[in-house]
Order: sequence, then C-alpha cells, then structure tokens
Amino acid sequence: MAAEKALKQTEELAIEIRGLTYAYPTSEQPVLKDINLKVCKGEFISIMGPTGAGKSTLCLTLNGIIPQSLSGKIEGSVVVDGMNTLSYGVHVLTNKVGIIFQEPESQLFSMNVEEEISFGPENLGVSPDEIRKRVDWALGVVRMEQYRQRSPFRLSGGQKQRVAIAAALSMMPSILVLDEPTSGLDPIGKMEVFSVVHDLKRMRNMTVVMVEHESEEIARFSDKVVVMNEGKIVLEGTPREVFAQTQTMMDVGLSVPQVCELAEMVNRKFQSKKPYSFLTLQEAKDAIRSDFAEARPTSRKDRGTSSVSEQRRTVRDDAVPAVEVGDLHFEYEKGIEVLRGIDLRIQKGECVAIIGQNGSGKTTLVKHFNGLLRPTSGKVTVNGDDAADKTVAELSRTVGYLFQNPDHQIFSTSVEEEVAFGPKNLGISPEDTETRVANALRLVGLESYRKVPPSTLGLGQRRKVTLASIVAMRPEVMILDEPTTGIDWNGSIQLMNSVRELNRQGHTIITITHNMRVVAQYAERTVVLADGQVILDGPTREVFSKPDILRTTFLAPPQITSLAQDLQPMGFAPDILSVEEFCSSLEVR
Amino acid sequence: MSMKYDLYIERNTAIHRLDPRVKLIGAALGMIAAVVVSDLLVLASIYAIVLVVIKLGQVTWERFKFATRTILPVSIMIVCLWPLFYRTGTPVLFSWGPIIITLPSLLTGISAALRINVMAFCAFSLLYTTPQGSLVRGLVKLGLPYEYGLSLAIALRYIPTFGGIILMIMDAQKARGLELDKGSFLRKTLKYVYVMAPVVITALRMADQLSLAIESRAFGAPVKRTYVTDLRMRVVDTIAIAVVVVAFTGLVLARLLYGFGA
Repeated sequence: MAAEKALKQTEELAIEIRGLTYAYPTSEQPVLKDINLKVCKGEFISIMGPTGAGKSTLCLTLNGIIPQSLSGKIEGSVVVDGMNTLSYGVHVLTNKVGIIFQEPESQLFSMNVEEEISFGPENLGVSPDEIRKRVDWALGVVRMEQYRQRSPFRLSGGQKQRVAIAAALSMMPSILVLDEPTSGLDPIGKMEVFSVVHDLKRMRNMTVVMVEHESEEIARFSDKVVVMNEGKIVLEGTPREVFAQTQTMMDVGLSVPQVCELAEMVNRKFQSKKPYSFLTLQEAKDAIRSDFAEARPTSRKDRGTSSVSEQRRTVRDDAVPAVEVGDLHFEYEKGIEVLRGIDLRIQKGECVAIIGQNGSGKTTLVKHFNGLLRPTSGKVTVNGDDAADKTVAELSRTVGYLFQNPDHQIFSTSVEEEVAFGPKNLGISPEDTETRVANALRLVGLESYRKVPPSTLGLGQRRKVTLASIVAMRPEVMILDEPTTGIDWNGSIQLMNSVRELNRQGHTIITITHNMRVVAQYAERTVVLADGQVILDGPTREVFSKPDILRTTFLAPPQITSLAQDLQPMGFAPDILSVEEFCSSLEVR
Repeated sequence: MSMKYDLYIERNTAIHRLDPRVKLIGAALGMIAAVVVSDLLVLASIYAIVLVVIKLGQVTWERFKFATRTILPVSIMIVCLWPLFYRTGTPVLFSWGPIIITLPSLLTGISAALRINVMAFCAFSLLYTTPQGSLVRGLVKLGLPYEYGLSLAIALRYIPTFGGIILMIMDAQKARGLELDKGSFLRKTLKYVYVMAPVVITALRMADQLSLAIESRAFGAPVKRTYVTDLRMRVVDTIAIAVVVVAFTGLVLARLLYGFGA
C-alpha cells in the first residue's frame, strides 16, 4: 500500500529537485545551495527573491541548460516529468519544459511571428503539416492570430512575451518555466501575460513555474510560493502562508500585497484573538465590512505623512517654473502624432510622477525637456529659457536624464570614472569633480565600490551608478525613466530614498514609472498620459481618487487605495495612500 | 521610427512572388555581367533592365531615392577621379595645367560608375523585394549550411534593434553633456568610444541571453531539421531562371567570341 502510494505520488510530480547545489564554472561560490523542491503536475508555483538569490539559475537547471551547456560544479538531482535533467540533452527536454526569459528582445530572433513559433519543432524534425497545426494552436492560445506575419521587432512588450510563450508551447511541453516575464512590461502587458499563463494552467493543466516580483498577481494566481535568498529556499507555502510572514519577507527585501501588510498591522493594533489573514482585496473588504465600525474620520494630519506632499514647500505660482510646456505637438513620422497638445508647468522643487501605458508619450514628452527631441509645434521652456535656443549639451547642465537601461550609458572600467564623466564634459575642475563624485557615491551608498568595474555589478547597483553619474552633474531638474523597473522592492526603496533626498535638497524630480506604490509613496504630484494627451494632473492623492478615469487607460491606484475606495460607504477616505493611513482610520465595532 | 532600417517592402508583385533562389541567382549573374562588359551602352542596357525589375517590384520612390543617394558619392567620385588618372585618347575636352580630361577617359569613368550602380541596384532590388527570411531560406537551399543561414538571419533581424540601441546610447551620453559633433575629426572619432563601449557591452549581454533562448528551443538537436515553408520552383520560376541564364550566357559568349561590349 505504502509503496503504491509512494509510486502514485512520484507519478504526479512534475518537478522534483533534491539537494541541488550549483556553482558556475567561473566561481567557487555556489549560487544554489541545497535546494529541495517538489512541484505537482498542474501546479502554479511562483518563485520570489531579491536580485542575486539564484532564481534565474534555478530556472536554467529545469530545462537542462545547466549543466548540459553551462557546466560547473553540480550536486544533487533535478527530475522533470520523470527525466533527470543532468543526464538528458537540452533538446530532449524541450518537449517537457518550455522556458521564457525576461528580455523579449533577446529571445525572439526570427523575421516574423510564424517563423519564431516554428523554430523549435523544425529543429526537432517535426513534420511540416504537424508544425502548421501547432503554430495555429499556439497562436490561438496566446491570442496572437492576427500577428502571424509581423516582425517581432514591431510588437509591444506584452505581445512579444506572448509570442515567446507560443514559441515554447509549439514544442508541446507540459511544464512552463517563466523567468520574470513581466518585469519590463507596462500594466496592460503584464495583464496580458498573466491572463495567458493563468489560462494555460486552468484549461490545459499546464505546470507553471514563474519567477515574479508582483506579489498581488502572485496572490491571485499561484498555488504555491517559494521565496529564495542567497541561493537557498527560505520560505515555502501557499501565498497565504508566505505573505503572512511579512517580517521575513521584508528582511529579504521583498514586498507583499498591501492587504497582507494591513492584516498584519490590524492584528498587531487590535491584538485580534482570531488573527486576520487577507490575501486578496475581496477578502479584506469582506472582513472589514463585517467586523469593523464606520471609519474614524481623520484629518490629513492624523493620517501620517507617508508622502512628501504634506511637507510640500509652498510654491508661488508666479515663480519661474523649472519646466513649462505649451501646446506641445510631436510626430516622429509625418502624420503620426505621438504628443497631441500637451500643456504642463512643473515648478522648481516639485516631485512629479508621469504614468501611463507604453506608447502614451511619456518618454517622448520628457525627452523634450533636455532637447533630445524638438517640438513639431509648441514651446518648451526650461528655467524660463526657450529650450529651442539651447543644445542638448547646454541643457544637460540644467536637466539630468537617467535612462531606463543603465547599460546604455555605462562605458568605464571603474565606478568613479563613470560618475566623473558628466562633470568632465561640463568642464568642472578636477578637484571639484572629485568632491562631486564622492558626494554622489555617498548619496546612493556606493562609496565602497569606487574602483569596481560597473558592468560587473547587478542591475540595481548599475542603476545606482548611473543615478550617481547624473547627480554629480548637479542638474536642477532630474528626469528618471522607469528607475525601479527590474529591481527588487528593497532596491527600489533604496534608490527612491536617494531620489527623495535629492528632492529635499531642492532638485526638481520628474519620474516615469509603472509602479503605483512608488508613485503613492514618493510623488507629490502625478500626471497621467494617455494617447499623447494629459488626462489627469494634480496632487497624487487627487489623481488616485479618480479610479474611473484611470481605468480608461488601464491604470489602477495602489491596492490599499482601491480598498479604501471600495469601502467609501463606510466612511473611508478615497485618497488614502498607505497601509498606515488605512489602519489608523480602522476601529473595532 | 524603425522603418528606415528595414529594406524589404511588402507588396504582392510578380517579382515578389519569384522563388528567392531565382532572385539570388539573377542578382548574382547581373553583378557578374556588369563586371564582364565595359561598354557604356551595354552597361546602360543592363542598368535599364534592373530599373525595370525595380519598377515591376513596385519599389517606392522614397526607397529608390535612398538607394541612389547611398551610392551617389561613390559614383561622383569615380566619374571625377577616373579622368584624372587615365588621360589617354582624344579629343581633349578640357585641360588646365596637369589636369587633362579626354573624352574616352570621361566615358570610361562614367561606365565605371555605371558598373557600380548596376551592382548596387542588383543587390537593392533583391533586398527590396525578398523578405529576409526567404532570402536566407533560398541561400540554405542553394547549399549554405543552416547554421550560417541562421546567423545571417539573426544578423539581419537585429539590424533595427541595434540601430535603435545605438541611437538611444547616443542620446544617453548626450544627456550627460557629451558633444558628439564638436572638435576635430580625431576628437570626434574618439568620442564615439563612449557610444561604442556601451553598444558592445549591451550586445554581449544580448548575445549571451540569445544563445540560451536558441538552445532552449532545441537548436542543434541531432535529428534532421524540417522546414515549414519549403521553397518550390513553379513553372514561371523555371522560365525566369532559364531566361536569366540564357541571357547571361549569351552575353558572356558574345563578349568572349566577338568582343561584344568590351
């Protein structure tokens, strides 16, 4: 009986990892340390962990890339669908495990979508008729039928990732491994990818292993969450179990859904006999409706000051604005307008977030502030001067621009040289440059990395290097293009705290971001772009209290704000921005 | 924005529908023909034929201008320089000190320029009317090993990507106060180090990830690879290739036996 039961269990296992320890050939230090993990068939597991935890390495052991093509020191075993990945070639495992990577641009290499999806089965020698059937099927699953002939280059981020999924599906795997597939995507793209993956699990019983940072999505879709840190599994369980460990999660630098933070805070505040554990917005809503009294009316002051907006310096309207844009129109190609009449006035010392889907014109707009783009019509003034009269180099003294991908600026062999590049271009004296470099590195917390080659650092650190290299130029205005994309919560907080410090020192900050929690926490004012026009502009609290308008462009306020808005009939203010604020207006019935 | 890096123009013309092998062979023979003959009139006729092909392929005026503009500097240089170094023959059209321009030398210059144009337009007409995927498929069918075909396809596929990345890196460095268009020629060139270093680092990172992706899709599996879209020669393709080959052979024979177009 016992043996039969054991046999049945192994049959149902999709993945079994035992005592896996692995070190890359270039290093003695293991990246994975004694990993043990079982995944049942049809399960959806999410892997979370800070940068450098070993998540991507773990993914590569699942389809045999490690150790078949990336050798190194390996101990233990990985069995997928009954096959040991240590002893089968990668091509044999392709019809067991399909893998999707983070960067869409470097995993789609064909001329059109159809060719992309056929590539795998062609390599496996599948008959052309069968391949055609599979391509049709896979395109249907990811809802991309109408893009067959399109070059992957011309697809949106979400579409690219869906094609990558289809390209893996055409080899008929029963397990999908996705390594941060949504990290570079806008909210629409994220939604598209999540819904496709969820359908695959639900309707086709696909086993899914997904590395992800978005805790709210994980809470909605996963059966199980695995948290990794420094090569080890530190937490494992259902999303409810894992997200209840808010302290452990914070210690490893990860965020949990805001309703989970709320449950924890409520339990502490009210010493609840039966502790709450909210996982979704709905659960939190139901519990609060049934157990709590009408919200305590609180004044703004009582609600704490999580945002800078409360401490906002009073700015006189007649002061010369840092940046002013009047009836700005812009087209890359004749007749295709990307910006359609933008009016915007940003005062000195403001901290502004610009949000909106990709393609809404955010980057196009801010590139006008430092002259990288010139208006097709309309006017841009920086510090009261017409930007049209100045070169990009001249404007770079006043307006700094942090590009999204740090690799697009890093060229030096040491961090200090990289940071000194800007000041040198401005003709700053060597002594002064030295002070500036030291100050900038102190601000971002990289003093001990001066001599390190920046390209060997992790993404979060590389972004700090580029931030420092802009800071050292001491521009009055700083533009940050998606500064937190692709880095973990802890890294995001560190980076944004440096940015807040800059704002306190008087720099005007303009941040483009898709992360609504960052917006709520750091921006005093938010501008929403849709289709080349400003559809909302005001204090962040006001902007987030208009969910209906945000929804028209597929944006939503942070989860805790949505909760307050849904509970508005109970007296919760619709512009609550933080968990602390929400908790302070809760009272037991 | 990305359009300018793409050569292929999607149309449904007889030229587009031709088997890529026919077009590859046609373009190659056209280029060889341009080398074999040197008579101005014969070259001009070949040039006219290539232009007809481009017209039939409904290549837009914009793209035609782009192609012409690309080779115009070279053409002008050849026409101007040739007579300077090759000054035999009469009549002398112009002389000023050591500069002597004779009619034959000018004509030879023009035909040399025309030859370059014919060769370039053979290549352009091929690229404008053939999707890069079929081009590679054609080359593989003609005997190029698949690995090389894939490399070529990937190279072509990533031209727009890298075009975009280079522009973005230039922007990123300009935003840090780098003035790419200031200073002497040497200094300007040296400044491009700040652009090329990130390009190389980015390319290496991408190549690394790309190799993982390609391998994860069963590349190199020890089985015979299949192809979904197989190329099949239609009657019209066979006729087209026959016409091209006969015309080419005729031209070469005429040149060799009778000195036609020499």
